[in-house]
Amino acid sequence: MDPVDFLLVAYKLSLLSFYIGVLVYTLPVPLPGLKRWAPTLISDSIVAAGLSFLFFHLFRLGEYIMGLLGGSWDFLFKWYHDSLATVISIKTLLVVIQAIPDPLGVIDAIRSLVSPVDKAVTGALLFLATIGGLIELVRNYAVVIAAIGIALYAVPFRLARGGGAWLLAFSLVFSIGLPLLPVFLVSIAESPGSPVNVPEELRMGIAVAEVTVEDSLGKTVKSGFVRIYNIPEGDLIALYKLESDGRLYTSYGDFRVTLPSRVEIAATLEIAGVTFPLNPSTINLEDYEYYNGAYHVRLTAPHVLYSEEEYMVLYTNGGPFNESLTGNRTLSGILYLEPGEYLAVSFPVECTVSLESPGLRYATRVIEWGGIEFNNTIGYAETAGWYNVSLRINECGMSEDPSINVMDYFTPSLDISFIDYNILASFILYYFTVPLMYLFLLFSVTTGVARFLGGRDRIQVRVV
Amino acid sequence: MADLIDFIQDITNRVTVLAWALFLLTWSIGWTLRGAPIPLSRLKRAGNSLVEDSIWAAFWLAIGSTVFSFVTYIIGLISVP
Repeated sequence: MDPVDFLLVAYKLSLLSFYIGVLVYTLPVPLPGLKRWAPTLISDSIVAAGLSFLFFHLFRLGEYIMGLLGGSWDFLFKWYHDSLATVISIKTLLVVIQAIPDPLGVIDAIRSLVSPVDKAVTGALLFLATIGGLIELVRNYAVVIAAIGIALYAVPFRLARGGGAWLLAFSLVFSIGLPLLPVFLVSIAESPGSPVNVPEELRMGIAVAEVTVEDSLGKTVKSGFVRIYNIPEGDLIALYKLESDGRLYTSYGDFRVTLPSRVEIAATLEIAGVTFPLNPSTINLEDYEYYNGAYHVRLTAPHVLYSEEEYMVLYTNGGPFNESLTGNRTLSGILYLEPGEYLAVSFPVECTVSLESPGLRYATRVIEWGGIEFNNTIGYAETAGWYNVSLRINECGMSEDPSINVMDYFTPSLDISFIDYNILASFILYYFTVPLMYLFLLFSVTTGVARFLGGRDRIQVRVV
Repeated sequence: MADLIDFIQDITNRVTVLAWALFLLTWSIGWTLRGAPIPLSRLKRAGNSLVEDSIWAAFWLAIGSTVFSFVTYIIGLISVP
């Protein structure tokens, strides 16, 4: 729609008003009530014609004033898109939190805390979208709306004067005032960060798993600690203790441990001061069976030959190993080693352990692990071949556990610190209260300007 | 939109013609009432006001197009930086 067409209509209508006013003057009826319309119509027609001629001047003046006050459409667009991006990212986080499955029965509580925040963010999002629509309307259609307003304004007998004046006032006020919104906003409130700092665990997902660790011979590993790393960052995200039933335990003594459900992880086993990789090297919980409310994960330590006793491990980087006899505290078999490969045992210094494997070159050292000293004996092979292995534990019994702190991936406690209520307050202020206040301000100015243009409801007489 | 503009223009023309005709009528009626041999001051005043109104109307009719040209001229003087 071309605003010039509407302006032409407005001009023609004001001419019509003028001549109707003259016609009322000429009526041969001496009724003062009727005759009062004549000067009103004439003066209205002159004002309407003036406005239709002034139209483009008014908008240019508006732009000039807006520039003087420091507003610009580009600034407004930047503010709008930044705000929208921020609010959408917070909304996404909140959706993520609320979409987490709740195996431990604690996320319901977190959800109930998140819910009001979510409502505030949704409100801010809808409000921003409303402002976006208003920006679109004013930016693209203000001129046409104002031209329609003037055409309505010029209708004879003030039939549409109020509506026309309001449309014209709206276009003018909003095309000056709306680009000033960010200026107004930053002078009152500061852009807040996100009120929600989602813990890393909630981002990576939470699942419950029962994890068992086996040695290379398929027997469960009965002691040690398992470190869990995320992939690809490689950050340590959990450290669980292996108990005598071969399962991992949490710090609060539950064999149902928590692990990330959305990212891949890797695990290592640590016994008696030695760290072993665990297979598979990349663990994706979704590859495992899920029943009784937990994933059932079985990990293998391919280098561990024997770990029946607490914090004692027989291991090798060679193989294969053919087991011939396993009894109480004994193990025998033959092991194939290439030159440079080794067979080793690590056990607390309080234990008496004998490892016999003729033909290997032995070296012994004492290592410390978790505040406890361990004997570490390594036998290197100098030639390739099968070696007899005989391990016997004569006496063992540790007085204390190594002091290594178990670190749970997710602690099922009610921690509400991830919502910062101070930031939430400034968030609502920045994205909701102040913009709303400003819009109300613009609307009240619009009403004022419309009243100024449209005059009062009763007929004004004898202007001319 | 052009039809609408023509329509408004047409009405305006008719209104103008009617206004000229009514001007003559009112003016005549006004003088008739003023000159009538009836000694009613209210009637005379009515005649007077009719004459007055018709002269105003004739004035506006005559300078109508001048008024709008003047409005255009005045607005043309206002320059926006």
